[in-house]
Amino acid sequence: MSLSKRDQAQALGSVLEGQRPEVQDPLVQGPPESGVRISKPTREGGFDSYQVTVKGHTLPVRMPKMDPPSTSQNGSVYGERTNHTIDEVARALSQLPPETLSVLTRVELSATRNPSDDYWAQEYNTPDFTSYMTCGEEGLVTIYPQTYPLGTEDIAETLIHEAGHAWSFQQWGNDPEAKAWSPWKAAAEKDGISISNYATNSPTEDVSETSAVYLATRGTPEHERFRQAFPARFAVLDQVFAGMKAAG
Amino acid sequence: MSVPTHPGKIVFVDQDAGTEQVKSADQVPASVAFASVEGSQVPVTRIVSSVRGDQRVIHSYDEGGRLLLSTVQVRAQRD
Repeated sequence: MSLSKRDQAQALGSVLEGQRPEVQDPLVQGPPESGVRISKPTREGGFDSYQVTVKGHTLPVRMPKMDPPSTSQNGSVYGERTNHTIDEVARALSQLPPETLSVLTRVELSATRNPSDDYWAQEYNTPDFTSYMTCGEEGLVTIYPQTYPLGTEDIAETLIHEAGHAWSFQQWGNDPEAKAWSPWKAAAEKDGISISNYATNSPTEDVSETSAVYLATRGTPEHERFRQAFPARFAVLDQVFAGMKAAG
Repeated sequence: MSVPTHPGKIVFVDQDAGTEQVKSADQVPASVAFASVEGSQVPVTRIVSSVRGDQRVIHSYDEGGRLLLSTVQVRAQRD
């Protein structure tokens, strides 16, 4: 019995909507797995600068010196905000596929909130709006401090998605109405369904959402399930990532 | 360092609400009106926002449609 596209989407159920396949390895303390090299830090002003090498990619990572959060007698944490450790950053980088690593140039952890947060809070009527990360056009990733610890999967998932914008714009240009985007849009039309509600916002989000799932599941049985649901888009991604690999 | 100039207007698009509004660049902070790209301040002329899961994502573009900066809101604290 063959399933309609709608049935396929329903069969994939929660995986398609809201429960993207998470990058494995939730918050883990301690050093990253073998195969990741972290240089000794060099001190520059109020920052420690490291070189993190993973899968043949070396990325500069700059960490501010931060006061550790204080803990009261009843166990509540107060005081300074906290940010990821160098081990957490290295571990997150080790979870990224080479295609994502290839568009990153450096990672900076900020000691202070994003200066735009107050404006975003007002603009989007979200009084406690707090940026987690910004990804710049040139591959600079900035991670902002938080009042509670976040897992490394937060870094990896966000980067895989945002890097999807970077490589797709590099490959096909900035204008999704341009001819270079036609093969992707034709593939999306052929597949008939979207991988998430968010993907339906635009072709650019469709690429990032679909490629994030493609890369996060690659080498797993789940990947083949998604390939069956999105064969045309996965065929485009096969070509793109083969080309990126060939280009080094 | 010279002060960068801005074309003047920024279009704010809220994809979830389906709304679009134009603001004067001098109504917003410099950190919103400009993005730093390789040491230069590049004017932002279009800001597109939408909510992905429990996170708002804000994309800032230049006049040519180049994505200059993606801002991702922190997720709600998980138990």
